[in-house]
Amino acid sequence: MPPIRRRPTPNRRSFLGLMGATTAVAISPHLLAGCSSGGGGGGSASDSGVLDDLIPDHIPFEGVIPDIEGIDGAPDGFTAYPDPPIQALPEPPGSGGHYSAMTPMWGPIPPGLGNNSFYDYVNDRIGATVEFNFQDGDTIIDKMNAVIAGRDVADITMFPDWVIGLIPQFNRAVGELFEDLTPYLAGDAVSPYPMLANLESNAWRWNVFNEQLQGVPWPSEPFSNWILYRRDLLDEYGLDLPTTPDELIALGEEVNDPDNNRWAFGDFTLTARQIFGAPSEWRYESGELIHMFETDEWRASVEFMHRVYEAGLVHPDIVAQSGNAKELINSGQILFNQDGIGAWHEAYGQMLGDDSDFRLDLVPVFGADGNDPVMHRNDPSAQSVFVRKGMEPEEVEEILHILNFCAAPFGTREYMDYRYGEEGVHHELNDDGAPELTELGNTEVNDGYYFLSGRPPSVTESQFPDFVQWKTDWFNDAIQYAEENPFTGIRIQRPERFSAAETPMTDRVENIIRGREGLDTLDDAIEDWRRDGGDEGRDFFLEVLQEHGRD
Amino acid sequence: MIEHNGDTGSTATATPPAPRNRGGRPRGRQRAHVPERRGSRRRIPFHARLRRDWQLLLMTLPALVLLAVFHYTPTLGNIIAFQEYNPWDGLLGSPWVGFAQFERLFADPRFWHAVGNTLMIATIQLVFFFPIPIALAILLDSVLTRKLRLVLQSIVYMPHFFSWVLVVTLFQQILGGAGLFSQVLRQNGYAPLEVMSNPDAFLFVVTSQMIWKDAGWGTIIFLAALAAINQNLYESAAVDGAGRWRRMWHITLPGLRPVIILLLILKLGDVLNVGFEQFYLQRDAFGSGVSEVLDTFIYHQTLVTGNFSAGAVAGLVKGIVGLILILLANKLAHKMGEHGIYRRA
Repeated sequence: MPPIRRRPTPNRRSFLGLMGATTAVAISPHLLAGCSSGGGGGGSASDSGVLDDLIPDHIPFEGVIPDIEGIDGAPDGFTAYPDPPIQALPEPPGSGGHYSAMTPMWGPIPPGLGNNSFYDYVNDRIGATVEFNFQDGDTIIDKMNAVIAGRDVADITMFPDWVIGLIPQFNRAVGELFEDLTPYLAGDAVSPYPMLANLESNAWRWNVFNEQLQGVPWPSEPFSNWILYRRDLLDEYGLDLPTTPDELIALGEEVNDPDNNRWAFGDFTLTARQIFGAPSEWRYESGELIHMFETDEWRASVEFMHRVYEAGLVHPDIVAQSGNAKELINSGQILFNQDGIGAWHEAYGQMLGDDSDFRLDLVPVFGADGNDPVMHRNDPSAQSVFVRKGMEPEEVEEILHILNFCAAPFGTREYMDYRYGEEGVHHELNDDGAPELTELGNTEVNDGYYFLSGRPPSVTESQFPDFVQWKTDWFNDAIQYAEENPFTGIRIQRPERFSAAETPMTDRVENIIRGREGLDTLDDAIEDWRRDGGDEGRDFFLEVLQEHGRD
Repeated sequence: MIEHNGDTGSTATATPPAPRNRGGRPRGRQRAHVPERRGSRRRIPFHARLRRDWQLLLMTLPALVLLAVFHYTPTLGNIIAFQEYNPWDGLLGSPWVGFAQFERLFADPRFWHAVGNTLMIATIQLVFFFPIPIALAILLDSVLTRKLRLVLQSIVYMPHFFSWVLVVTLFQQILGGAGLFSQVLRQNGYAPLEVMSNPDAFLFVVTSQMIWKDAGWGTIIFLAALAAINQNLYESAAVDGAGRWRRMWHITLPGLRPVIILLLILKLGDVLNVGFEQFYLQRDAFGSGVSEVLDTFIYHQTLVTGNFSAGAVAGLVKGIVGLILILLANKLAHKMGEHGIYRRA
C-alpha cells in the first residue's frame, strides 16, 4: 500500500519524508481553527452519525470470491490470480476527455504521456486521457502546501491522509478548491459507479468535510503496525512464540547474542501499548475522557519497554536510531521488529530471490496480565482523491467514471490493466497466473492509476509462500481485539496547543524508555503535558463527543 | 581579504588618491580629513565614474541578482513573524498579531533550552574546533614534498563532501554499540563502548564528527594565507638564529592573524547556526535534552506542527542576534587594528 507505507518507521535517509512519518504516528495538525465548531485556537470535527445521508450506499461487488474470507472488516485473502479475470465494467467508461492528475510518487518518475505505452494502453481502456503530474512522495507536504496556497490544483488531485492532517486550513481550502461530490455519489446516486459503491462506508464518512462529500477514499487495512519476526530463524532455535510480555522478554534473552552480532529486538513501543491494552488516544469512561498517557496500561507499556532496553535486547543501532531496522531484520541481526505490516511483502520481494528459505511472520497478538490486547485501528481511509471545482457536470461524471475504473478490485481485468498494463507487452503471466513485469513494464508501469482511487483491502501476494494464509490468519485473529474508539468515524483537527504538547512529551518518554531519565520522572512529564495542552485537548474532545451525542 | 597590496601604509598619509586608483581607497589614522576627501571624490561626475567602472559593475551584476532573488526577496517573507500565518490565506490575508508570536517564543522554556544547548555547542566548537584547521594548515605547509602534500590535502578535504547521514552512520559503525570497536572489545571479554547513545558523551561525539568532517576543508584559507607570507622573512630570521618555534611565533602566526580574526568574526556571527542535520539525525540517540539546538527546535515548531509563524520568529531572532554579534566582533577587530570583514571608512 504505497500511500501509507512511509508512515510506520522513521527512515534516517529521508527526513522530509520522516516529517510526515513521525507526525502521522505521534503528532497532528493544528492551526486548522477558525472554520467550524472548535473556534479560535481550537480544532474542528466532522461528524459521522448525522452525515450518513451524504455518503454512497454500500453495494458490494460480486466479483471474485476470496479464498480466505476476512472477518469483520479484515482483508480478504486470494491465494491465486483468477484465470481469466472478471470483466467488471462492460465497456470503456470514458467519453474522450483529457484530464490532469496529481499524485505523489515514491521512486523514479516514469516516462511521460506520449512516450509511455502503458499510459496509452490504460487510457485506451478507460476511453479518456489521464495525464499525470507526479510529485516526489518524500517532499509531498511542501508541494501540497504550495498547491493549496497557489490554488493551483489538477483536475484530479490525490492527498495522502496524513498530508491532509498537516495542511493548515485544509477544511476551508477543500470546499473552495474541490467539487462537492455529494450530488453525484450520495445514496443511490452512486449506482452508475459500481466499483465506488463497493467501498465501505467508514472510508466514505472519513471524506466528508464541512458536511459535503468531497473525496474518494482508499479504504485502509484495519491495523498498521505490529511485530514482525524471522520465522525461519526462530524455527531453527525451536522456540515457542510468546503469549505474555514476560515470555517475550525471556524469548529475547534466549536469542540475544551480541558476540555473534545478533540482537533480539528492534523498537516496538507502539506494539507494546496495544499488548498492554492502552487506548490509541482517548478512553471514555463514566463521563470522562482519559488520555492514553494517563492510563495505567500505557504506563505499564513504558515500564516494559524500559525493561527491554535495559536488558540490552535492542540492537545498538536502533538504540542510536541510526540503523535501518528493515536491513537488520532482513540480514538476521535482529529477530523481532515492529514495522508497518506492508513491510512484510516488501521484504519478501527483496529477499526471497536470494534466500528461498527467508520467512517473516507477524507475532500472534497477545495481551498482558491475562487481559486481551487492544488493537489500534487505522483511520478508515488512507488517501483522498479530489475533483477540481468549476468543471462541467459531464466532466465531473467522466472523472468519476475514471475513478470507478481505478477502484476495480483484485481479480478483475480492469485491476490487471491499471496495475500491470497489457499482457504480453508490460507483463507476462507466470505458471501460477501471477503477473510479472517485462523490461518495458519495469520502465513504464507505475502506480498512477492505482492512486486515483481505493479498493477494498485484500491480501493478494500469492507468489510468496504461505504469505496470504499467514497474513489473513493474523488479521482474522487480531480483528476480534479491535479497539472501540469513542471517536470512530469523526475526522478531528486538534487544537494547536494540544498537538504542540506532544513532541516534548514523546521526547521525554523516549528518554525514559532508553534509560536517560528514571521512571520516576514519568509523573512530571504527564503533569507538564496536561498543563501545556493536554487538559485543553481533553475539553475540546469532550465537546466533540457531546456535539455528536456520543457522551 | 588578504591584504598584501603595496599601498598599505602609503595611503596613511594625507595624499589625495589618484583618480585611477581603484583599489586603494583612503583609510588609516586621518579620520578628521575623511569628509573632505569624500567631498573630493564626489566631484568626479557620475557618468565618468560609470564609464570608468562599468566592467566592474557588470561583473557584480550576477551576484546582485542572486542575492536579490534568493536572499532579499525571501527575507521579506519574515513579515509572517508578525502574523498568524497560514498558507491558505497567504501573506496578505493572514491575520496580524503584532509581537504576540515573540512573546510566546520568549515564554517557551524549550526555546531557552535550545538556546542554551546551541551556545554550549558553539563554545565548544570555538575552543576545540576552531584552532584545529590552523594547526593542520601549518603542519601541511611544512610538508616539503609537493606530491605528498597534495595527497595529504586531498585526504583531509575529502570528508567535507560526505553528507551528515554518512558521517553519523560511519561513526555509528565504528564507535556504536554494534560497531567495530565494540565488537572487538566484546569478543575479548570487555564491555562495549557506549558513546553513541550516551548523552554525557554528546559534545565529545559531535565535536569529533565536526573535526573529522570539516577540519581539512577549513585549512584551505589558511594555506592560502601561508603561501602569501614572504619567504625572505623566514630566511633572514633563520640567519639571525631563530629556531623553528620562534619563526612560527614571530612570522607565521602574525602573518595569519588577519585571516584568523576575519574567520573568528564570521564564526561569531554564525554562533547560533551550529547546524541542523548533525543534531537532527542524532536527536533520538542522545535525547532532545542535549541535542535540541535552535535549528531543530525551529524545525519541530514549524514543519512538524505547521506553525510557520513560530518558526519565522525563531529564525528572525536568530538572525538578529547573529548580526549584532558580527557587528560587535568587527568593532573589536577594528579596535585591535585589524580590518575585520570590512574596512573602517
